[in-house]
Amino acid sequence: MDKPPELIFPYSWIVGQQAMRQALEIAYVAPAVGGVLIRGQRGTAKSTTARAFAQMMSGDLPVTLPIGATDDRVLGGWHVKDLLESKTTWKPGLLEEAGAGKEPGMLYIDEVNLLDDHLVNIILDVASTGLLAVQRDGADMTVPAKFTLVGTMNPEEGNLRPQLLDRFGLLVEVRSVETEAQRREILTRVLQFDKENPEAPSDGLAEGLRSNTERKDLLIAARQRVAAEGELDPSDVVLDLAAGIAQEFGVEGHRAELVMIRAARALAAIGGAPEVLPGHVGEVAEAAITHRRSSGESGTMLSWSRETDDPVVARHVAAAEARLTSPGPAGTGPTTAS
Amino acid sequence: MASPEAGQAQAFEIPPAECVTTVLSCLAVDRRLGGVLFVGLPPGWLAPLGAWLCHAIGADPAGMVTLGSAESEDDLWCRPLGGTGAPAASGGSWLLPGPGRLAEPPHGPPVAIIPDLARASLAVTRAAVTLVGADAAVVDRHGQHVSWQPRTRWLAACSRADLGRLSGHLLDRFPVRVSTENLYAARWSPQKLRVALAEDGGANSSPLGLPSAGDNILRALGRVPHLGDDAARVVVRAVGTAAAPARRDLALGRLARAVAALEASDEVAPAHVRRAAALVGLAVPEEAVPSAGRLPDPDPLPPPQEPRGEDRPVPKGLPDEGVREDRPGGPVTITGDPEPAGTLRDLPVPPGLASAGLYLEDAPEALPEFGSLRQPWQRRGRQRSARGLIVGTEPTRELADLSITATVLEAARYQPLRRLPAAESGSPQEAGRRIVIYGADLHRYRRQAGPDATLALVLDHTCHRHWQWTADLAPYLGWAYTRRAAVTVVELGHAGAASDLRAEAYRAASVRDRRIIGSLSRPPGLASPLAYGLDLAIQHLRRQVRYGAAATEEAWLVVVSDGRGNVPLEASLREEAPWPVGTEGIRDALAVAAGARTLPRVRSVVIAPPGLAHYPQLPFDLAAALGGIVADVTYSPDSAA
Repeated sequence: MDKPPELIFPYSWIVGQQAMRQALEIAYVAPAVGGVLIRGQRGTAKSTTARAFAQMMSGDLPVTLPIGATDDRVLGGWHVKDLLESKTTWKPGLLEEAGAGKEPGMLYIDEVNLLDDHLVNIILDVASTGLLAVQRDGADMTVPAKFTLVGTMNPEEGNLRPQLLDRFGLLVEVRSVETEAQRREILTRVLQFDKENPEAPSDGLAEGLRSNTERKDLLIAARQRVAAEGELDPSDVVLDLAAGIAQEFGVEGHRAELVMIRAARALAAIGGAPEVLPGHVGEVAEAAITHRRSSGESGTMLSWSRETDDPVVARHVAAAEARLTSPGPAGTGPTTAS
Repeated sequence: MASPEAGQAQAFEIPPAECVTTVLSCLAVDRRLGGVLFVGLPPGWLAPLGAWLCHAIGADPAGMVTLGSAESEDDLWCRPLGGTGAPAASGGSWLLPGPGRLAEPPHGPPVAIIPDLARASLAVTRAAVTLVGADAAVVDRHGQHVSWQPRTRWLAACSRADLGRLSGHLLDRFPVRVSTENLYAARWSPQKLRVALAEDGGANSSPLGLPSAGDNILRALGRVPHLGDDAARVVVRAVGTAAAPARRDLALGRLARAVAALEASDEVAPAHVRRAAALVGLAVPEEAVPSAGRLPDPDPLPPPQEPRGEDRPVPKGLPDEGVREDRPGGPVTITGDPEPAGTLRDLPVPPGLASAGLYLEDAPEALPEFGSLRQPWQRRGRQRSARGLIVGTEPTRELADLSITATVLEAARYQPLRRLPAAESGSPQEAGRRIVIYGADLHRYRRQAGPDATLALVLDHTCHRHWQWTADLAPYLGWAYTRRAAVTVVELGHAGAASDLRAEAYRAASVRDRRIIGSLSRPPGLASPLAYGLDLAIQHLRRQVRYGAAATEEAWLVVVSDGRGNVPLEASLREEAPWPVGTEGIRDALAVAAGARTLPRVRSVVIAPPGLAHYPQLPFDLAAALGGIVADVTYSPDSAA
């Protein structure tokens, strides 16, 4: 079998889907956010965007977990041919492959809700701990496996359980583009891409690839900034803001505010902001909160409402901004009371 | 031939046989179209079409793969193959996993056909979702990793009656659909019959009387006509509805481009889009066609033209009207259209869409089977689970869920005997190091089986204030006992509920669980979050009947309620008390209940209190929504509390 094509639809050619692109970029810049779940109807460029992003950042397609994968390929197992020759050779699984690099790689799961639950459990455990413990077929090993988990799902095929949803740092709900202009633009671009020759890209494609490189450099710089000691430390006002939003939405546990703060730092770094502002928190609140709101155990997810939920976030953000601009201890010091 | 609605939409009809051959020709010209779904085509007629397509692309029809209801994941992706060059001690053969039928090198089979999409196995439908129109594919099974660039062209068929219940996700992979119901309605002339008889079975025969693949296909290969703004506008407006996924736009655009290539044109004109739209049963709104491109109805089948010189050079850059770059080189955002651009919701649904009925999943009333890619809809015998507690090992002929230790231990008993041939052949040292495993040594894990029947019991405690319901529930509890069914209990509206606005659920391994007795005798409360309770029960059932190989084969959903839910679903999800309390709770309950109709192997029944004085029709409405029945509960002094 030959390798998949190296030339895939360029990230910079994706039309619309701003929320999805932003979430992927945040997850790359701040891996501690804990992955992205892209949830949307069919034909909303979920897979295209995820693959294009991985291709842009790593130069290769992401390690992909197909829906029919067996345990031995997910966790690792003995090399069957060697085994039959009385040799024991361990063949790393996809989780180990994705986390093998110096930098956390991307593990891409297309149609994550079509995977058997026990596989999803295993993957999410490894994603959250960064350690892959294998105890099967006489093998006993623990290896580091750090990767950014990106999953896509079509809700028509059923939901993930709330416990599993919570393990994804961010959730993005994508919708079909609605304007005629956007649909026409998608059509034109994809059909143009059909004609491209990897050996001799058109001017338009060459420009798109250049844009990719610029975006990649920007994201790498942002990632370094987020990882640097003392950079973009959030103020107490920002921390308090995240906690306040999480509390108002009745989120269980504290993962939501942690994700919000990490994502806000990443967003500030991507935008080149000197510090994390309340607006950054407000911008990532939806992706961090939507799937963590208590909706009972049925798994039916309450969609984010522009009418009722956006104003709540906006009110908190406005209050935090007012605190920052008001005279006195503006909450930038580490001991400022909230 | 203009349609009756020609005043509003430009549509013309293409003879069915020509429709089929043209679409197949387009698929031959552009593999990115992925596949074609023939609606109304008898399953047996798809193979000749596949052979026709093979001839058109110059492939050997013997390489075509037929997929049906029996294929498993291993057949498709990874199957045990006899290896060559095995050690002599093993008798020269061994069993190794190799690429399955859809992963055959280098790009998969040239053509794959699914004669009846509605009855294809789960593995086949999942494969179609994964591969049709995909740029890249990957398989990771049984120690094997394969990645490849699929170039398989897919053909599928299904009856119109089945179309509505197919997964929208699966149908999305087949945006090109052709109605074939009238394919053979026309009477054949004696001459045509003679030709068909003469050619039947020949290597280059025209299947079922279809005209042979034309030379225009060969000439069109490699020709990529340019699709300009005018044509793109017509494509988007022909597809029309905002509910249509982007794949449908792309498919119609590619189809129009292939039509143009077949006509040896370098530019996709609006007339090509009209022709392509007609092939898939869409009509083009008249206002979508620029006046310059508003041509009279095209000839039924334009004769192939000689190519006019070299392919058109690839246009440089992309049109950037109405496109703003957020940052230099960054992703683009559409800021508007130079022309007044309404949203697609404003556009009328093309009459062709409604009349052709090939895109049923767009209709608001569409009710496809929920989550059908997780479990096949056809009833099947209980399969051994690859999950569950390991309770031992057993011999097997398959490679799935192998117990390596047991296999090696079994093989170890025969090693002295099996190594003998190698020792005699002059390599005693080599023979001493190797363990020789035969197929007969293979052992897999034996796993504890889970229950294969489920009873989902929704108890609305608000309705048993003066009613002893145990006797009416007895037949269902008895069934659960004799079937050793797992039981899911959803309770709502009792005085001791943790939240009045939500239902509570638990799952018991059997009806003998002591908690069930307690659930049958709780004091009633006031709020009745029926919609939430039904949602909970249906979600539980979905997991039971869909997930994995250990899925439930038979289930009952028993709803004990008067149907008077007074808490809307959103209020339950937000856990905020609704005000005012209207009929929203009842409407939500009916809407949620409709989800039960999409569950395979689940029967529903509503048990309502006898002698309801108010709203006696509600239980019947609820049963209708569930797709079930209302149990006959007759009032008797014994049933009164």
